[in-house]
Amino acid sequence: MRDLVTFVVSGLAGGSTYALLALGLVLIHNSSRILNAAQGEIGAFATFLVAGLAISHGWPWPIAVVLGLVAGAGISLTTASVLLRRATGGRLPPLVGTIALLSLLVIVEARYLGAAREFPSPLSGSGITIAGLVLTPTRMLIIGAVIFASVVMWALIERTPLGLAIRASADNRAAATIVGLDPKRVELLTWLLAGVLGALAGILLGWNNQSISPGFLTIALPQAFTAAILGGMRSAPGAIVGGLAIGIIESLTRKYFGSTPGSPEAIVFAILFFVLLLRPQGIFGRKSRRLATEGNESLVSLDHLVSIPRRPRISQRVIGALPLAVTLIAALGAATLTSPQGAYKLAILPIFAILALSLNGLIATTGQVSLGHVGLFGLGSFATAVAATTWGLPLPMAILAGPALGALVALVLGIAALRIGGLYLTVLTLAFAVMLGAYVFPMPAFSRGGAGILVIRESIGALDLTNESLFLAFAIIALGLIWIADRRVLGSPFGRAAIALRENETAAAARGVHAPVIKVLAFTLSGAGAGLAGALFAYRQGIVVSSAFPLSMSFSLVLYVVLGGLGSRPGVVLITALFTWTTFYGSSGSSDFMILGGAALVVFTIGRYPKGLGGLIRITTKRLSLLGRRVQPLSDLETGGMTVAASSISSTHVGTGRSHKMLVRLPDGKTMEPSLLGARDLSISFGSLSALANVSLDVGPSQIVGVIGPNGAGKTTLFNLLSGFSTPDEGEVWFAGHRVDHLSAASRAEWGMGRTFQQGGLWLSETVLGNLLMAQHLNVRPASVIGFIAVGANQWKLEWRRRKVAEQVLEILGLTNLRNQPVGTLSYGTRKLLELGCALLTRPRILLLDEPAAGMSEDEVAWLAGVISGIRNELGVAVLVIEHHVPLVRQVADRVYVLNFGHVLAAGTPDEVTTNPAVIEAYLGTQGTAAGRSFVSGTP
Amino acid sequence: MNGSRQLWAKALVVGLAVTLMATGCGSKTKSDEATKDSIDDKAKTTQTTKATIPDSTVGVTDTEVRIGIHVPNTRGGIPLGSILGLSELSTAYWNSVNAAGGINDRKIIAEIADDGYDVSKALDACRELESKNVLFISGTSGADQIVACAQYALGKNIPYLSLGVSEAGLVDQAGYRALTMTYDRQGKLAAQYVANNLDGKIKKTAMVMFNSPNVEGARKQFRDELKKQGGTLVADDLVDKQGNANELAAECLKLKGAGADIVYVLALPTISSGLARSCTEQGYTPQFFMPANSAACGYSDPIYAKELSGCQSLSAVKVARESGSPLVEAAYAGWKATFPDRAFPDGGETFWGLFDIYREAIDKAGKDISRRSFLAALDSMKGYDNKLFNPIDFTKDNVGSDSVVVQRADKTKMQFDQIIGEWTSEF
Repeated sequence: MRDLVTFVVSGLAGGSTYALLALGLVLIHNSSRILNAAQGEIGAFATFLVAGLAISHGWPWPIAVVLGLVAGAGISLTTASVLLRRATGGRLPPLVGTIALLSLLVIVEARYLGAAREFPSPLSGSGITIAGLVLTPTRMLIIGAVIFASVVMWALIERTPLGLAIRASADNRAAATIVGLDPKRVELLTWLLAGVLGALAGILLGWNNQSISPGFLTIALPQAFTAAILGGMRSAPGAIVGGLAIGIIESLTRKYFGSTPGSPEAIVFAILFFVLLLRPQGIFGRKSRRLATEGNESLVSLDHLVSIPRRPRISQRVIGALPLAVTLIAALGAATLTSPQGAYKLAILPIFAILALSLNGLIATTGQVSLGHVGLFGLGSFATAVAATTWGLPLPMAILAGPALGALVALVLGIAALRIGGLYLTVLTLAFAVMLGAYVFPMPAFSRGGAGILVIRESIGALDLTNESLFLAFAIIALGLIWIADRRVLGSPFGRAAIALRENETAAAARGVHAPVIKVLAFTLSGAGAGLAGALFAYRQGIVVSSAFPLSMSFSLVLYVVLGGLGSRPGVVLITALFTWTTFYGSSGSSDFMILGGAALVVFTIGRYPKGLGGLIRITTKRLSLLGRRVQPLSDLETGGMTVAASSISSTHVGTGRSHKMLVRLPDGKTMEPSLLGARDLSISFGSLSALANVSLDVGPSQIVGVIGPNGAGKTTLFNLLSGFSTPDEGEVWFAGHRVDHLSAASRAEWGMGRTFQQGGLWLSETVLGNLLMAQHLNVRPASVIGFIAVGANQWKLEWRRRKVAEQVLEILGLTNLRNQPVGTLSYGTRKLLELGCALLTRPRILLLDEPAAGMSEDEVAWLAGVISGIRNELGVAVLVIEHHVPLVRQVADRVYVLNFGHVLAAGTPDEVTTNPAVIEAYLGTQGTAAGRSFVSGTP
Repeated sequence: MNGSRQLWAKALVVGLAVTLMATGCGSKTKSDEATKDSIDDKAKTTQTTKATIPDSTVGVTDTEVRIGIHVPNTRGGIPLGSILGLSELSTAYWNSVNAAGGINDRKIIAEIADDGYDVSKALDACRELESKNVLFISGTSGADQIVACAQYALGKNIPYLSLGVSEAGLVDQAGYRALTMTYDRQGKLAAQYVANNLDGKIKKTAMVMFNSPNVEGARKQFRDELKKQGGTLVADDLVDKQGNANELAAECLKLKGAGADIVYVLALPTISSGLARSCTEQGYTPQFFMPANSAACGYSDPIYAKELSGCQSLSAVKVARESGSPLVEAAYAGWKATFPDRAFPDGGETFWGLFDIYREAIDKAGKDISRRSFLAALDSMKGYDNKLFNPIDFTKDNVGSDSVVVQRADKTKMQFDQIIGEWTSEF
């Protein structure tokens, strides 16, 4: 037992370094919501400066240390001001900037600061013994620093106005600005503090190790990331506990599993995996009962990507065939013009380009970043090597083993992505790669005792792949096919659904997009791509060894993809080729300068151009296409649109007359109105606040039902429960005779429950037409999965049909002129109109409209009344509408429910409820207010 | 329905993870043993019959012999400079040979390729050397790079030579020659030394190696031989290649708790130094013992840890300054002639000795040198002793040495004491 305690104490002491690093990470995440990959290296750099001053120049330690802390703070501050210059690219570009900074600092340390050097601790003494463990003065200083820093950080974040400002600025910058905070200043201050923490960690660990080397603190970064995640990412005490917990796990692993290769990495990964699976918010993270309507976990902010189906004119067919033509020409050139050695060298380019495209596809479709792609790449290599050697499969089959295993393992990561997202998922994939490198790849089946697996190329029919030039041509063709497949998939219903999810999970669910299927499929396809790259790599190298897949490759890959311009195939391929060539074949004398220059370029430009080369290409292309065109002001387009809309709607004879009730005759001769949508005793509480209590309502087929009530009455909560965006604590939801409260929002949409939102029901970065195409997800009734991922022969026809439907809706809504406008640039009223169109495209049996008249003028409200009635009268769709505009409700509704403080206050015909004294009391509060008068009189 | 899906997903994930871990844990022992046994069998086979490679005169012209050497000139794109200086050392050595008239009226053109201390780059380097039509390829430093490059070169029937590292997949190949004793075989000798010279039959021994498949052979040999010698192995652990300080501290506690008096370490000098520091911190100072091609125990700054003073090491080369080899002075002179303003690289004498053996073999192969005759010349050099490198003997197998010396680190002298003067193959 005493032995065990000794190991635990040792783990606590060792974990204190992780805790210090994790504290800095949490601080930065709290203010900027990004991971700082350079946190360790900033500390290492500061430590090198301290070493230079104290050891090389003989300065007193205290002065050197203070200057080191100042240097850490300064570098961190500068980093923040450079990388966070623009907040338009999402959280990934700054992460990439920190990766570049990490490379930059390592090179400077190695080249100019003496590389490995001694760093003796100025503290001496024998220390004290606790539970059999000797704690040296240096170690005690580290523990003391951790305790001090954690208390200070906890107090700072939780107990001071500054902490409140940090949290407020990170949660909602706009709101923080309104209340007088300066989010930028707050952000810079937290980076400064994090820099001090990093420097402190570096100096203390350096003293403990008595030597320092470039990157010595970055080695501990995966553990620090894991600690921060385990602790909940926002909690200072959580980071400390997470760091100490990892220290203890490592220590105990050493005690019990020391002889198993890679056991600490495997066990830390397994614990991280299971903790996140069971408790996605981390151990100390607070599980917020977040409504599904509150955004998404995407780490990127991209230009609109949804491809618009076009009629295949000859010119477009030519353009469409370009990748194929380029591929064939390049392959032909490779096969005929390259020398064997040149071809071998060049073959690395298409392979890494495929790998980069696989990650690019994942980021573009899901908004999630994987740092584990090097693991999938390695698995693909080993799978092909084992298939070719151990199983003796011929090359065409062995090469498929790579993508197969890559896809299978990525599928598991995809399942994990259903539970977690954002930075949590990023760190999980990082841990996954670490575990593969340390535990799986060295397994005897893969490593063969260190000898690796020899992979011999062979011919496929007449194609002699032992010929380097032909192998290069083969790799180029593979890249071409992946390129074309990537383009097609992104333009397929699957691609649109994935983008819909990435940009707005709420809107996607409301249009029937099932997140689990899409996310898992996106990961699986990406894994297959990485696996294919790995398979080609195995054949290119001729030998697969466990050390050929360093973790740094994952970081490089993310860097290529972001610099290339997320979602931009040409940019990503170009940048990947450039960097890969430099890394592998840059002249050894100048390559460090090239890397140094490249890294510096990234650090200093990523803040200004977060969308990388691809972004620049897109901007340039757009500018060129606009040259010479007269650009019509958006206001004109919108005004015109609304005018057309009004006339179009009226021309469709949408009246305001009420339909006849649908009645069912019972055996006893009585009649009753059947219920299409029914709520039975729905209740939900948020903490101690009861939002809804025992609410029941019914909406019959072809009925228009209104829900009114004062602000905070629980109307939108009721909608969320009915449509599946929240889960009731008690009660039932019935739809078309089936109980549906266990179904997801997407499934309910699939059943025919469409809805709109007060706000947030559209994809703002996409165009109007793109939104209408994405909203047709439920119309994609794939006869097969093939059609879903766009490899079917009649794909074009299906897509063209969807576009025509979208165009018809645009015409009906009068938004034709706005078809190519990003939705984010439209006025509130126009967005409402568009959202209505999107909801109708799901072909609902009932439409739940959440305050459709908000922000509309009286003329527009009158027009809206006609539309709502028309939806019921012409399309036979029932409508449940929440509205503050009581006259509108009185005008269109067959029946009205009044909610007040989460209870149904009254129900009946519009006339019945508007004359109900209790209702008037609820609205009026005291007699004579304007609201009360308007309610009673029926005027707004 | 949602709930059941989530349950299904969780079950699948948990199942896969458990399977993966179980596969790793379970297969490790069996496959590992099987692999090693198979390696041993192969090694035995090669002791009786020695295969040959297809003959070729690639790299040989009337005026020159072209050879290939891959070195870690950079790491991660950063020049290693004087840390190893192997590229410059190679240049200096072969310059000195050519300055003295070459060999058999031919100049030796040493094609040097940077392997970047990275497996993928090492493979590229070897391909580059292959494209330059070299007679043979030599590795210098880095077991992973040597293994990968050797596999490639041997697959192309190009002779591959290096210092001895691991044996798996290499020593049974016709074109491979290890110029020093491999780590696998040093493991066996080390166990004998521990048992017979460090009281390992009475004292408890522990083994710590870095996590790499390349050390598995050495690990098994030491384990088996120590058991045979009657020693007690109380820990047999692998540590992170990067030298995780927390792990090393816990490892020391484990070794201390297990009462290990002798700790046999095969790891990078930074790791062994860190381990020794951590152990000393805990008031635990076992006898450290290490295998090495040149000098282990992290003897030079900044890697040297004073806590390793007294550490003993097997070595396939002698301490340069105390070896009495004329090559040492020749090395310093040759270096100065090529790089007058730069200090001689740390441990560079070892590779000067290595290249000296290549020179001798090229010389012995004569005017009609070819790949096969070059290897035959090497094989015929039994007993060749340049006083720095171990005496050569390829008669039994492809590992050129059965002997080592034992050295001891001495912090006061910042170098090793040579405590056993003559080469020995058993203790």
